[in-house]
Amino acid sequence: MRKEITIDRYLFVTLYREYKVYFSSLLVMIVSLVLLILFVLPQIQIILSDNQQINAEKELVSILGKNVSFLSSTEETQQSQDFQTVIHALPSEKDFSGILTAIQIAAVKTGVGVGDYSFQVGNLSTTPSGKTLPRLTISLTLNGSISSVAKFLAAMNQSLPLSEVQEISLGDRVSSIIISFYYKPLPPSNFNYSQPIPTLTQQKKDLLEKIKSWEKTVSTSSMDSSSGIGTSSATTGF
Amino acid sequence: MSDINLLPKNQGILVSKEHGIRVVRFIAFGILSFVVFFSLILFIIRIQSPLTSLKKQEASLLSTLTLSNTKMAKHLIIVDRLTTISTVLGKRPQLDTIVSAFLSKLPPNVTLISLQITLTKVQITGTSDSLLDINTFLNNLVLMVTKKEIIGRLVLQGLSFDAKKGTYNFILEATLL
Repeated sequence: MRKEITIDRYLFVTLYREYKVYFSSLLVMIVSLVLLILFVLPQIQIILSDNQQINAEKELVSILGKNVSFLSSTEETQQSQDFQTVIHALPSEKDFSGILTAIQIAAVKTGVGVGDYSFQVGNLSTTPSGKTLPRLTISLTLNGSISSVAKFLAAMNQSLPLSEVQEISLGDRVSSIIISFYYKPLPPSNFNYSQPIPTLTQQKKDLLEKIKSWEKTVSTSSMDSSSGIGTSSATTGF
Repeated sequence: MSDINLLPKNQGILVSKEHGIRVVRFIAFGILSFVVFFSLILFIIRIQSPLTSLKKQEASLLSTLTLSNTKMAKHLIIVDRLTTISTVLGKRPQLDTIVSAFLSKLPPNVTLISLQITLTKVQITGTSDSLLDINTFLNNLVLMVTKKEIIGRLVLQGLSFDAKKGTYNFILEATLL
């Protein structure tokens, strides 16, 4: 025979009276679990993500610290000189006067007379873009022997701004060359401080010294030619 | 002889119930203690976190770097330009050395009338009163081709005799390596 259970008010009252001593403990357990789930576990997650952030911050601070110490150890005068040299070698825009000075100096040094010249300037209104380095091409007529023109070409190879001879047509008395002078616009100044500042490798330092020696030759020759030592300056047409 | 149970039946139930209550209270206290202890540890960890000081350090370093903006810009430009200059110098054709190389192969009795050099080829026009000297010049150039020195191919485009002047004229074309 099955005993029937009636679910009514009296059942709950009976159950309450029977188990009420457990209720306080049960309440503490429930509150503790709620606290654990709602507050403690999210805190653990926050701490874990904080740890990742701390590692990233430490790395960033280390990079920034190195950048600061590198910049503070850089001598300003020396840096300005280096800057002038590289800008002289690779101007930020079409440097007509620099080009003409370089040609004049090379001509004076090698005893070549410079005749007519023409610039192929290109579009003046647009800024050069793309991966290729912009250049300014000039056609030159040179008066001199083949060997002196060869010396002129060698002198141009060691002069600033940097140039590249594209075409040579050497004749017994008159020669013509097409020569391109490079320039490079200055990049926009949006620094990423979180990146380590690239240092100058020994190879780059050597290159800088090499360019400086060319610059010195140019400035010495420039002084010589301005003091009237050069013989062909009258025929250069500048 | 029979045993007499002095405790009433209900008393045994009461003892096990009290034990149960103690166990439940112990578990509840344990859980609460665990939560409190863990919260305290987490609180201490968060208080001792170096994140705030790192952020302050970062801000201070950034402000120092901002002050050295010009220095940084100059340095980056120097490095960038030197990289470009290195590339340019590495790729730059040395046409002056090509001219010097051809001039050095020229026998005394051969005169160059013109020497045209582009980035890919060289055209030489010359004259001499002796075929033997022209032959020497050609042999020198052929040797350059064999040694793969500057030129890779040599073509004699023309050889003529000027009866009035008594000279031989030649036109050569060479392909640059």
